[in-house]
Amino acid sequence: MPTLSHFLLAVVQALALFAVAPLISGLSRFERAKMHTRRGPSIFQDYRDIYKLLRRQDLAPGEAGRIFQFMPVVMLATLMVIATGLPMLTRFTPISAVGDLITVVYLFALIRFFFSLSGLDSGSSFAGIGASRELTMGVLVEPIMMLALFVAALLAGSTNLGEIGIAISSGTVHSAAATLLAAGAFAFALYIELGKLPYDMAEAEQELQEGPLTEYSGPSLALVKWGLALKQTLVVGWFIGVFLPFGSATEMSFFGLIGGLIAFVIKLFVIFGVIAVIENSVARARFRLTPQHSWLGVGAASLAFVFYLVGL
Amino acid sequence: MTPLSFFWISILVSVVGALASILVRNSDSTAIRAASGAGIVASAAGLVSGLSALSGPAAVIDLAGPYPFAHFVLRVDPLAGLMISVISLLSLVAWIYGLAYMREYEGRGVGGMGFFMHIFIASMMLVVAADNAFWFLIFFEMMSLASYFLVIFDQNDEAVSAGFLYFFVAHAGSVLIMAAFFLMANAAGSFDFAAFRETSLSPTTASIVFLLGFLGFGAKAGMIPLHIWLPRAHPAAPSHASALMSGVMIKIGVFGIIKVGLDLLGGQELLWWGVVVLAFGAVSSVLGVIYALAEHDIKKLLAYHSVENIGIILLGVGVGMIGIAMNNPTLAVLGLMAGLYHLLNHAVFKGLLFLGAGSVIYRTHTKDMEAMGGLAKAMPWTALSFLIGALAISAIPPLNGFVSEWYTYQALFAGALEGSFLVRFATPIAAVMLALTGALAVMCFVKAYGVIFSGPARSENARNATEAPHSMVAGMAILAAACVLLGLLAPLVAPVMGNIASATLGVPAVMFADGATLMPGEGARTVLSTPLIAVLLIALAMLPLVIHGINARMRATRRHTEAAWATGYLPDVHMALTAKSFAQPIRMFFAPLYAVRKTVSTVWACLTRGYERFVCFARRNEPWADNRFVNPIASGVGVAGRRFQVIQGGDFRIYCLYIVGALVALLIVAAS
Amino acid sequence: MHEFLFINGLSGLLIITALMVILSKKAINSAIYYAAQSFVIVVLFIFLGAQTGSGELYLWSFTAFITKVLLVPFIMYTMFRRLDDGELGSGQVMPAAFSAIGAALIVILCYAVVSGVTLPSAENLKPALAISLAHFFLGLFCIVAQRNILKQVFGYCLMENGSHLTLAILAPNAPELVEIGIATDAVFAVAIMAVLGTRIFGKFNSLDAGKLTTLKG
Repeated sequence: MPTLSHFLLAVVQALALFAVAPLISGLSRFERAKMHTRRGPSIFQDYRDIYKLLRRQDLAPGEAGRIFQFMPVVMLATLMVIATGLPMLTRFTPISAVGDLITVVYLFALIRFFFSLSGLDSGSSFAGIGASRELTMGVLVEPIMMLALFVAALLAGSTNLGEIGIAISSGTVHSAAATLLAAGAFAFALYIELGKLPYDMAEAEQELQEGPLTEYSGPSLALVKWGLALKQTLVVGWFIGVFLPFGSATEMSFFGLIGGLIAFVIKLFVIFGVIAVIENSVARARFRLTPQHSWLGVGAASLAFVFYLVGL
Repeated sequence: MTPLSFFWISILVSVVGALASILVRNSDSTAIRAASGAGIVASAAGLVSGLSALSGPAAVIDLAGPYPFAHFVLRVDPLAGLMISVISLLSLVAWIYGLAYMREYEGRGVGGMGFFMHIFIASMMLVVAADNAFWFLIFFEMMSLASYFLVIFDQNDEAVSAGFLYFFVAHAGSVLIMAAFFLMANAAGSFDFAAFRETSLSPTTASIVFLLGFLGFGAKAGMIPLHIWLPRAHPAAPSHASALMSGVMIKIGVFGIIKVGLDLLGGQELLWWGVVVLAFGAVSSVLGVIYALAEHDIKKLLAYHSVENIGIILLGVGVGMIGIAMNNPTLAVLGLMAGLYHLLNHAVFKGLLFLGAGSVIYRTHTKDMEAMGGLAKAMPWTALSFLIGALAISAIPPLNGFVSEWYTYQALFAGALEGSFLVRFATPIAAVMLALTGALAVMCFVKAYGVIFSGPARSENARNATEAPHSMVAGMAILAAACVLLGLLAPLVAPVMGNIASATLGVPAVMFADGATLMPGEGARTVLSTPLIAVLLIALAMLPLVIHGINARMRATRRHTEAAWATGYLPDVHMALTAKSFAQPIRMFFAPLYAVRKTVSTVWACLTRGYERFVCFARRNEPWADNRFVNPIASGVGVAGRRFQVIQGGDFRIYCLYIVGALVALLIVAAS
Repeated sequence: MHEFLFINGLSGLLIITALMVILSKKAINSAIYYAAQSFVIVVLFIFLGAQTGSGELYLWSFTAFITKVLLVPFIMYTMFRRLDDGELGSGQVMPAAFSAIGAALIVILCYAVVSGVTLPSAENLKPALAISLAHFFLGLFCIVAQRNILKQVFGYCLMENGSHLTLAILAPNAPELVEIGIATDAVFAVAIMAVLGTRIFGKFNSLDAGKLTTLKG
C-alpha cells in the first residue's frame, strides 16, 4: 500500500496531467500551423474548444447503446489511473500497484477495448471501420512494446517501471546496446500508438470521418478529445519515465520534486517538438502496408533481445 | 465432515439424478425438474467437498475393489480439490441455467440429456479423484462416452459427424494415455498412482512416458495440433453442455498433463519437457485466437478461444516444469500457480460466455453472429454478463483473467531471469506471443460483443428478441459475479492457489499476497493490486462525470433518435459492419497462418479417403473366418438342436415324468 | 398280528379308492372318492399308532382328518362344481382298463423295490410300505394319464397322500411339526391350484391340458 505522500503525489500527478493535456495538443496544433507557415490558433485553443462543446447538446444515433454513452468516462478514468502509476516526476512509481509494465500495457488495452467497442456500438459504419483499424494497430504494436519492455525489464531485473528507470539512470544495465535498441523499438511502437501521422489509422479524418469519434457530439465529444490528448501525453510520459529518467527526483523532497517537474516538462516539450516535425513531414501510410512497418519494429526489438541474450 | 464424505454424497446424488431422469423421461417437465434438482444438490455437495480439500493434507480412501489387480483408491488432495470445486461450480450454474434452457429440447429426449449430463459430471469428479491408473482410465472413458452422447444430441448430420471425430480423437488420446500408464505400471509393479510416485524410471523411459501422456492428455485438452475436434464438437452440443465441456472437460486434459508431468513423474523432470510444453502452449494460444477471429459462428469462435486459453494455461504449467527441472522451487510454484489460476478463471469466464451465447441463440434461433445485432437493448442482463465475460477473457484489469495472465507473465519473466540459455531464449518469446494473443483476443471479443449486441438488428428474430428466462440470467449472473470477485479478491485467492501449487509439487509455500497487493513471490520487486485499481478507476471516474454534468442545466437534454452519418444518405442495415469485414485486416495480415489450416484440411481429407478404402477392404474380408468355420458349426448345432427339440413337448405332464424318471435314475445310481 | 392284517388290508382299500379317484369322470366325484381315501388313511394312522405305541400318530390322524377328509374335499367340491368342459369328455389318455393294468403294474414294481430293501423298523409293514410308494407313483400316473387339469390336482393330492403314509410308516415318532407342515402344504397347494384352474377355465373355457401351450408368451 502506498504511503500518504506517495498517494498525494500520484493524485496530484494525475490531475496535473489531466489539466495540461489540452495544452499539449494545442501545442501540437500550434507547431503544425507554424510548419505550414500559418499563424495558427493559440496554444490554449483546445481549452476553448472543450468549453464550447460542453455547452452543446449531446446527440447520439438511435441504435447507440450504453457503451457509446459511457466510453468517454471510462477512457478518462483509465487514463488517469495510468497517470497515477507512471514514474514522471520521480524515479519510482508513485503507486507501485499500478506501476507494473504489464498492468500499464493492459490498461491501455482496456482503453482500446472500450474505444473500439463504442465505435461498433454507435451503429455507424465509419466508426466500425475505425474501430477495426484501431484494434488491428493494437495487434501489430503490442508485441513490439512487450518485447522491448521485457528486454529492458530483464536488464533491470524487475517488471516495475520505476525499477527499470532506476536501473537505466544508475547505469546498472550491463548491455547499453540492448537498452538503446529496446528504447528505439519502444519509441517506434509508441509512435504508432500515438495515432499521429503517418499512422493515423483509426481517426483518419479524410477517409473515415474521424473513425470512432464520428458520432460523438457535445460534452461527450469534449471528453473524448480530452481523453485522446491525455492519452498522447501519457504515452510520451511513459517513454520518458522508462527510458529517459534522467533528472527526475530520487526521493520525495520538495526541491527534488520541483527539479523533476522541470526536467519532465523540458523532456516533454522536446519530444513533442520532434514528433511535430515527423508528423508534418509525411503523409498517412497505406493501411495494407502497415505490417511492413511494424515488422521493422519487431526486427529492432528482436535485435535488442539477441543483444541481451549474448550479453553484448 | 471430511471432503470425502461430501464427495460420496455428490456422486450418489448424481447417480440418483441420472436414474431419476431416465425413469421419468416420459414427462419432460418432471424430468427437467428432477435432473436439475438432483444436479444442484450434487454440485453444492461437490463444491463443499472441493473447497474443504483445498487446504490440509490429502484424504485417501482405499477400497479393495472387485479386481485384485486394481484397488479402488480415491485421493482428494488440494489439486483434486481445485478441480472438484471448478467442476461443481460450473455444473451448479449449468443446472440452474438448464432449468429454463432444457425446455428448448422438450420432446427430443430431455430425460436422456439429464441422464448423460449426470453421468458426465460424476465421471469427471471420479477421474480427478482416482488414484489408480485402471480406475482413472475407466472413468476417463466414461466421461468421453457421456459427452459423446451429448455432442450428438441434435441428431443432424453435422452433429453426428462432429461426434464421430470427437470420439475418434478422444480414443486416440486414451490409447496414448494407456500406453503411458502401462509403461509406468510395468516399472512400478502395480496400477496404483502411489506406486507410480515412488518408482524412478530411466530418463529415456520417463521421457517416453511424458510424451505419451502429454500428447494423450493434450488431445483431450484440445491443444494444437490435436484440437481438430474442438471447434466441431463444442458447437454441436447443447449450450450448457458446451459450457461444461469447454469449461471443465478440457481442463481434465491439463489436469492429466500436470498429474503425469509433475505429480507422477515426481522429481525426474527434464528441462526440455517444460520447454516443449511452453512451445505447444505458445503456438496453441496464438493460432487458437487467430482462427477464432475468422469465425462468425459464435460457438465455434468460443471453442477456438478455448484452444487459446489452454495454450495460456500450458505456458504456466511449462514454467512450473522448467522450475522443477532447474531445482528452483519458487519458480516452479509461481509457474504452476499461474497455470492453475488461469484454469480456474478460464472455467468461470468461458462458462459464462457459452451460457451467454446459449441465451442469445435461444432467443434468436441462429448461431450466426451476422444474423444478430442490437440485442443489448432487448437483453440487457445477458449483454452485461457477456461484456464482463468478454472483458475477463481479454485479460482486462481488474478482472480475473488479467490477474492470472499477470502471474503467467511474471512466471515467464522469472524464468527468463535465471535459467539456461534455452530457457532464457524461450520464455521472452512465449511472453511476446502471449502479448500478441492478448491483443488479438481484445479484437475478437470487441467484434463478438459488437456484432451481437450493438448496432442495428440484422434479422427478424433479432428484432423480436426478449430477455432470456430468469434461471438462465441467474446462472450467468453467478458466473459474472465470480469473474468480478475472483479479480477483485485476488489477494485472497492467490495464496490459496499458491498453496495448491506447492502442495502438488511438494515444496514449501511461496508468499503471493500481502494485504491487498499481489506479488510473484518474495524478492520480486513488483506488485499488483486489483482492488486498488478498481477503487482508483471508480474514484477517478468521478471527475469526467462531474465535468460532463457541469453545464447540464444550460444545454438541451440528450437527444437519442438521430440516424448515424452516412455521407448524406440514410443508413441502411446493409451498411452496418459485419463480423467478417471487421476481422478482415487480420486475415489479410496473417494470411500464411490461415493457409496452414487449408493444407492441413487437404491432408486430413486424403487421410479420411485412405481410411474409407481400408474400411471397405476390411469389411469385405472380415467374414472369411465366419464363412469357413463358424457358420457350418452353427448350422450343424442348429440341426442337432431341432432334433433334440422334440423332447420339449409343451405338455407339463411329460415334464413331470421326466422329473420322476431322473429321480429314479439317480436313486438307482446312489443305491448301487 | 391282527393289526398287521388290518393295516395291510386297508392298504389294499387305498389302491381301490385311488383308482376310483383316477378314473371317475367328473371332478366332484373324484373329490368325494378322495375324501373316502383320506378317511382310510386316517384309520390307517390310528392303527399304526396303536401298533407302534406312538402318541404323535393319534394327533396326526386327527389333523389329517380335519384337513384331508373335510377341508380339502370341501374346497375342491365348491370350486370345481362350476367348472365343466363339455368338449373334453373324459379326458383320459388311455381306456380305463389299461389304466387299471397300469396301476397294477406299478404296485407290483413297488413290491419288488421294497422287498429288496431291509428295514428293521417296519419288517411287518412291508406291504403297506410298498402300497404307499405305489400310491406316490399312482399320483404321478394320474397326472400323466389325464388331460383334465383338475385331475392334475387330484394326482398331486394322491402323491401327497402316498408320501404322508410312507413317512408315517417309516418314522412314526416324528414330531408334530412335520404334520403341521404337511397339513399346511395340502391346503394351500390345493387352494392355489384350484384358483389357477378357475382362472384358466375363465380365460379359455377349456380344461384340456393339451391346450395349455397357448398360454405361452
